This record gives sequence, structure tokens and C-alpha cells, in this order.
Amino acid sequence: MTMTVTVLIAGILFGLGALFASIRLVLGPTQIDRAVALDVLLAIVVGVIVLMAAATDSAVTLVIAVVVSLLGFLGSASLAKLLPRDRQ
Amino acid sequence: MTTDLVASVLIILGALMSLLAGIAVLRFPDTMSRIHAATKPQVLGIMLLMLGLGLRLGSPGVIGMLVLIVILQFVTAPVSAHLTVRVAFRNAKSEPAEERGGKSAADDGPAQLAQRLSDESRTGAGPSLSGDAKQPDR
Repeated sequence: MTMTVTVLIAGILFGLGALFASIRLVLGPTQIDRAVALDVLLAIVVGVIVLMAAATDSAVTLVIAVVVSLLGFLGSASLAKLLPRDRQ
Repeated sequence: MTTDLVASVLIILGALMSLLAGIAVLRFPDTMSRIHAATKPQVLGIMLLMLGLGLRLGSPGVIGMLVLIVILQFVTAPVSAHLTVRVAFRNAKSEPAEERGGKSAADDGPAQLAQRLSDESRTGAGPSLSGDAKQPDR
């Protein structure tokens, strides 16, 4: 009972956060805004994986959370390093 | 029962941090403030979520993997924030100053302060000194 309510509330919060980050991903005037929005989105994905592990009481999917957090760092760092100077 | 309640509260707090990061990334006016407000709640939210999950599933293998995720976030979040802020600062410096009322994010550094002080000392009393001299009349 507690877990169902928790999953519902946390799911709504994660969903709203992901929606706002996606709006910034579409709007963002520069490319670096989009890189930041992607970083936030991937952190929310890690949170959702942890929420699923808490809801089903099984820890087999936590390896995906490790990989996704590494990929988030890799994505934003490589975008920041490889964006050409003339193109914002 | 109480550990279940504490774990649920921690998980909800972690989700709230992610929502705050999403709202901040949408509503803040400048790229640098967006980066600032989107990386800090991210790490705190991940920490709270891992605490809640570690309270629920107590086995040592799971706790090891949770500690690994937290250490990875601690190491990678400042590095990626530093790299993106460097690009954002470069963009703010090269943007024309008329678009933002004559001031940019690159206008307040220590180099500019040293330049202003040397300018004022070269011309004698700078504009701020003559402004302060009027104060004791009150």
C-alpha cells in the first residue's frame, strides 16, 4: 500500500521533471542548453530505474543505472568538448 | 514498517529534487544559471534515492552498487558542469553586448576589475570617489 502511493507520487514528479527538461531540449537557444537538458533527462532516467527497483524489490536492474549515469556524463562532456566555435 | 515509511519519504524527496532540476532548467533566464541549478539538485536527488533504496533492500551487493553510483555521480557531475560552463562562458563573451543592455557574464571578472581600478587611478579621482565625497553632507 505504501509502495503503491510512493510509486504514484514519485512517478508523477519524475514525469513532470522529464517533461520540463524535454521542453528545454526543444526550445533551448544554444546547443549547450540542449546538452544540459539531456543531462537532467538522463539523471531522471536513473531515478526511474531506482524507483522501479524499489517497487519490485529486485536489484537486477541497477546495473542499467550505472551505465546510464556514465552515458549521461559522456554525452554532455563530449558535446561540450566537440562543439565548433562558430556554431553556438 | 517505519523503515518502509522512511524509505518512501526519501524516495519522494529524491523525485522532488529531480522535479526542481527540471523546473529550473525550464525557467531560468541564462545558460549559466540553468547549468548551476540543474547539476546541484541532480546529485542530491540521486543520493536521497540511493538512501531510500538501500533502506528497502538491505543486501550488501545492492548497497555496494548504490555506493558505486553515488561515487560516480560525485566524480562526473562537477567535471561535466565545468566543461559545459566553459562553453557557456565562451558564448556569453562572444555575444554582442548590446543585446543584453551593455553587460555580459564576462564583464565582472578579476581582469576587468583590475582594468577599472588602473583606469581610475590613472585619471586621478574616479567617478565613485567623487560620488562618495558628497555623502557626509547629511
